[in-house]
Amino acid sequence: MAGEKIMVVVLLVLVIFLGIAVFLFYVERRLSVSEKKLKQLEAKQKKQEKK
Amino acid sequence: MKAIVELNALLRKELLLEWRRQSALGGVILYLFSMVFLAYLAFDGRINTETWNALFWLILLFSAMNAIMKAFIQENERRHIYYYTMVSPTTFINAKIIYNAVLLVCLALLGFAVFSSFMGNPVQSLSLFLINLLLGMVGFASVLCLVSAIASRARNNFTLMAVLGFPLILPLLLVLIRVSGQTIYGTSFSAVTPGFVTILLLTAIAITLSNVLFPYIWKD
Amino acid sequence: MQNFRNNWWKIAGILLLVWVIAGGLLFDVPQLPVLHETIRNIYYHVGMWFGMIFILFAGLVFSIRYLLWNDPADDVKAYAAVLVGLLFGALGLLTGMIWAKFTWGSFWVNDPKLNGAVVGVLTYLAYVVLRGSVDDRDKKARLAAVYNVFAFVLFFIFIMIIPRLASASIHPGLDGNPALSTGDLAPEMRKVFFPAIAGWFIMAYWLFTVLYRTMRINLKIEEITENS
Repeated sequence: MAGEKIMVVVLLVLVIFLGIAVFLFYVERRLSVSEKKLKQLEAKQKKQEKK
Repeated sequence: MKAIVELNALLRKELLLEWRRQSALGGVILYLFSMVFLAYLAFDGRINTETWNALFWLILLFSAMNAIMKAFIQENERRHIYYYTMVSPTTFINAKIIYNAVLLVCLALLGFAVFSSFMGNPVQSLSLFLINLLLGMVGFASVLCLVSAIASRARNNFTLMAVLGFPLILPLLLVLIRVSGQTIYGTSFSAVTPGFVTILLLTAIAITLSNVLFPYIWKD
Repeated sequence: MQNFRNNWWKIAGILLLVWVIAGGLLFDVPQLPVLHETIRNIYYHVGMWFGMIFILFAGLVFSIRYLLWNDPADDVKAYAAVLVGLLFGALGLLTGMIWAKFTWGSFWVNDPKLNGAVVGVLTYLAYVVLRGSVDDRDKKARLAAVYNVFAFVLFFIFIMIIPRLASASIHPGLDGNPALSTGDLAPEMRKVFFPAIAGWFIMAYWLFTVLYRTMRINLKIEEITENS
């Protein structure tokens, strides 16, 4: 009985943890997209200032 | 040599300022008296030794914070620029620390006198207790001066000073309270030596850090 | 994700912690009096604690760099580091309290190391409050950096030295080292404990990088909207 319970706990914690990891990767992807956009925006601004 | 001359001059200036504007110092002393009296009323004059110790140090802590807040927050902009051109930042902060240390020692002795008269004096090893008090006040000054310097540059300076100062002063305070407790029950010099060493160490570190860090706050 | 070369360490961290979670709960542990199964807490509580110290130390480095070279990126990094440090500190306290309930019967005890932990969290919460109290960006960065240096040194001394001076502490690992003692480093525990330290370090750093990037983007957006 105790063996089963601990397996449930382990799986639960693992699921939560992996969920967090997946979430972090997702956030990072969104960040990369934003960073690229910002770079383009900044490059555009610099060109405008040079004109 | 120049540094020491400047230090002297600054110290003298502080003393003069304090003397002229007695209201600030008076305020601090009044604060101390009020807290002691409040404690007396709240506890009905009867407390056990542990409570005496803890209460005494708490009152000292708040009075010290009150006193040092005024050290930085009361000076205005123009005078600050004047100091900026005249002396180096390290001289300035050291002068503040030394002056406030002396101030706090006097305050603490006064506080002890008043507190004892209301709540009794259970201290056995009096000389060691007083040495602890002395070291403690120097320690308070060295930690709190830099905190006050930081807080004075921000909004909400009085609350901020307490918020910033409390966690940083806590290690020192805990050692002081412990040693103080030992001296109340009666103890020997060798027994409190580790405590004293810790206090001196913390004080030395605080002074060194203040000297290193204060110039960065100075650039304003 | 795009490139594996940059991100391998995150996968490593994940794998390490999967090992730690599964192994920490399933592998055998030495049966010590009082502690029994709760000794497993070491893998999480102590691991997170080390992670916190590590990331706060990084924060210290960033603050020093800011004071020396005035690069605003360092200030943002310091702030991100402190926030992650606070998170780990809070988690450390939480796991500590849960463990305390099982081991000593109550959530809190008057003990120098626990008090030290609270002082640490208070110190860094004060850092956040300080940043909130200053409007000017440069001033905020400078004052925050000064406070961070002051705070970390005092905090570090507090947690390292004070517990050793205390006469008695029921918190494990009193003989000199605040975290470990001989019983805890039994060989069967080492194979989970050391990966745990590494895993938590990696997680702390990962969270830090994500937070830093987010803050940096927000700042840039502010700047662009201010300039246009």
